[in-house]
Amino acid sequence: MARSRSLHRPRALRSRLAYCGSLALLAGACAVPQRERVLADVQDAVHERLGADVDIEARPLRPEGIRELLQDEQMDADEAVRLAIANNPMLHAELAELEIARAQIWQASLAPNPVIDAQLRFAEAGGGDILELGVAQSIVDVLLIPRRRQVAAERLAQVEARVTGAVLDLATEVRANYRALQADQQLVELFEAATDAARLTLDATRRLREAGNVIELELLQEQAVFEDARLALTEARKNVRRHRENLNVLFGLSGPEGESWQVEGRMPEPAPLSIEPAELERRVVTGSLDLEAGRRELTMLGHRLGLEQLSAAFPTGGVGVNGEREASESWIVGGNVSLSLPVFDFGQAVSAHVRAEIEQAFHRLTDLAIRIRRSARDSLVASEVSGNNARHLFDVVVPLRTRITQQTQEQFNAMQIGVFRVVDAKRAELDAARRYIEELKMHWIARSQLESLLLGRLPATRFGITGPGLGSVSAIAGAGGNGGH
Amino acid sequence: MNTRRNFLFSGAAAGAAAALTTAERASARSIRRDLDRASVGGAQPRDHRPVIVPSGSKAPMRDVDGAKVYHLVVEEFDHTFAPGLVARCWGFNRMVNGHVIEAVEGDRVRIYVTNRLPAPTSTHWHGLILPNGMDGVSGLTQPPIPPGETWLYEFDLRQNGTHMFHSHHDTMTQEGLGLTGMFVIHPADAGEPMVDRDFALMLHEWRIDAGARRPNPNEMSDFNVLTMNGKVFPFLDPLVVRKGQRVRMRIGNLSAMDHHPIHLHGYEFHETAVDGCRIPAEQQRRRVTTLVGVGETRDIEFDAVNVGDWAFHCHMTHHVMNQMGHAFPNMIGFDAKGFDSRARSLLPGYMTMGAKGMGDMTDMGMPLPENSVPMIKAEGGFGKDVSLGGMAGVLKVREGLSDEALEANRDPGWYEHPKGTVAGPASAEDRRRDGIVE
Repeated sequence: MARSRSLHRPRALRSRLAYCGSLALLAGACAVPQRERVLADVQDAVHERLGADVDIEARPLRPEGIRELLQDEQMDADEAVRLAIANNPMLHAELAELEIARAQIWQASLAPNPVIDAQLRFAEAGGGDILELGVAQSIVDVLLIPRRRQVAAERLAQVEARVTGAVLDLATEVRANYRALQADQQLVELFEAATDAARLTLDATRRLREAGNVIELELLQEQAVFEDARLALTEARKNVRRHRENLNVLFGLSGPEGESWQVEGRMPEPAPLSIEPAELERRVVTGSLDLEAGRRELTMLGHRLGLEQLSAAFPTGGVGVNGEREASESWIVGGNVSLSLPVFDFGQAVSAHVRAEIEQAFHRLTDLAIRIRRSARDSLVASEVSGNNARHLFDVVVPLRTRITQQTQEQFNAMQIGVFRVVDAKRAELDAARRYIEELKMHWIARSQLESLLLGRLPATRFGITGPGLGSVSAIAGAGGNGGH
Repeated sequence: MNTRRNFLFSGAAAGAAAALTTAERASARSIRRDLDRASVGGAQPRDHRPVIVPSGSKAPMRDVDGAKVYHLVVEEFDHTFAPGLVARCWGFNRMVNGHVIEAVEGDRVRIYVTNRLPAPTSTHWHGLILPNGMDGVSGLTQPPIPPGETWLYEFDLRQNGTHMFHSHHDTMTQEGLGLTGMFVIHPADAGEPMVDRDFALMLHEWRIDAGARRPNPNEMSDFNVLTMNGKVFPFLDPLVVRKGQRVRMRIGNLSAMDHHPIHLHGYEFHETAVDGCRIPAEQQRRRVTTLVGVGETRDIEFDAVNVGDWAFHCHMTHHVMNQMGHAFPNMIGFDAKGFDSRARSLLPGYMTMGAKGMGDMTDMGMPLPENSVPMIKAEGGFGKDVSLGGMAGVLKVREGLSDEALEANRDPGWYEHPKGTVAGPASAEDRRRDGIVE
């Protein structure tokens, strides 16, 4: 609110400075976009792309608001996204960028203040003292106000796009971490069972050792297997902790609230996107916020080019009035005009600089488009391959392993083999289930990347989270890091 | 009294009927019908008892112009080792091991062999003195018999005794799959002491993994199904004998790799012949165990003076197990207290076994692999506590059995022991009397 007041106070001042106001009107100045309007623009853009109602507030939630969102025993992925958008501090830091951009427009709209010059000279040998008064106004800066506003307006548009992208990035990171947490919780269950299996065979070996039937080496080997299983379980629990903490950061939670929420217990079945690669590429490129931001950058640089050229050629220039009065004589009033002459620097160096920046931005934009296309193809393949693998594991491999365990146990019942072989079969069954969970996890992460691309964002870990694979589509899909396009 | 006159068909059918599966019976009937169409003649009967083949059968014979004609069909079929254990085997006239050609010394025999296998074969007459070209070694004494063809072996029987026949083409595979049988030649004269009960038993060993449906003939050492006449204990028909009868057991061994020390409970017997050669009476040894080597036959004889149910079995302990799993760890002494309940959380239905020995392997209602049988634990006169399997059988000696019961080799049931003749818990009085301190 303090900021708001400070933005309104100069308007009153402006009414009192008539000549400055007239100069500002002369420069084509217009009103600064309202804060609510800017937020609404971002919210509309998010809604259009995300397809869901989200409240983008200027400030994080109060504790009671957080408690209200966390009142359900478990939150689904959409609820998790809503909580993060409502409460993520980094997102609110991004939202503050909108105010900065708005202030820059305002600043660009303001004419420079006039300069008052007063001189008083004292005569030593008699005669009257001399008083000189002058007022000077830079005219060059006033003339450049429309161009500066244009540049500032482009920057605001850029910031709006960036903030919209930040909201979408946040949603993507929340979804990816949500699925990763679900997967890791499921993996913990499997690793607990695997540890139980290792504990069982260790116990059996201990009992056989006590009976005098096995050598110490076998006991030590079983102990080693158990210790490995226990370490694997610890690692799996650590991953659960890590993804909970990731989500807490994304939710903007700490303290008791960070421990009070739960995600749903199981990941959904694979749900590949049915879209042709060419159509996918077309959609992600045409809808890309990143490319739009790049194009705006080019436009802004174009406007900057003209501005910088003029500023360099005519760094100073102004008009003024002055008067002189000696002793009691009347005022001698006159005017002056000053203007730098573009004899040596007519803006050629600055122009070259900005042109190079434009060329640089163009190449970066081209590269970005290539990366977006490649990322789309990779994500689609990763999503499909992992989804198909997960389905195959679920439909074929896991039931096969279950049958193998059953039949191995029948062989044990017939005393053809020992309990160790049965537990080995059980371990293989658990391992098949682990592979299923991991493939399903990769599917959903790739799927969230695809969704991010379709929302207009190239996946990236924007919120400082060591995420579950965002931005590493190639690694997930098994493709090389220098994939083509 | 049975004589050779009537053993040819009736004795064979009756002796084997109890053990034959429906398919086996159908096949035997078919062969018998075929041969019944010819007249039965040839040598006049002499006083030989027909050989009895527990759980097996004898090759049908007809007499044509003074020659005894047999027809062996070699083919693949499902053989039942025990209820619940059936495997695709190769055999003669749909019998594995337990098929017997019975003839008399001096007979001219014509043996047709029809090959219905997918592979060539030949039949070797193991131990017989015959023309070289009739010896049945494929590639050496004859070409192999191609699939689908019927070949003829014809020779005179110059000797008597217990002999065998088996495939001599790809022997390891074809014997391993069951192509063996016994050739019993009764002596031409009655110089040999008569016996009242004459049993033929062919030993064999197999590898059939629990759950598999075909023996593995490639196995060299780890056999898990040990049979007499193709049956595992307790599914070999009993040897039924009336008290006081003279008994002969002809035992042949065409196992792949193992000799078998066959031990008879309750009797001392005489080893009367080896490889069909009668041992002179003064050289016959009194024994309780006879070692039957691979490729060897042994005849033992005794007077059945002791009534009861007497076990006989190979004394190699792993050979009296059914489908013994040699990958099973040594669990003896394993303290399972508190273990099973924990294991069941991971493996529903788990139960520790083997902690007190393989006697745990019985019908506990736990799911077993399809096509498999318990290792031991057969039913006997005292419940399901007969800790035997594999290469074992029961000699049942009773008083007062009828001729009809003997002809049918009908199981008289479990022996009813006279009071005070069965081991039981020692009473305190007994222990006190004899100074036994527990």
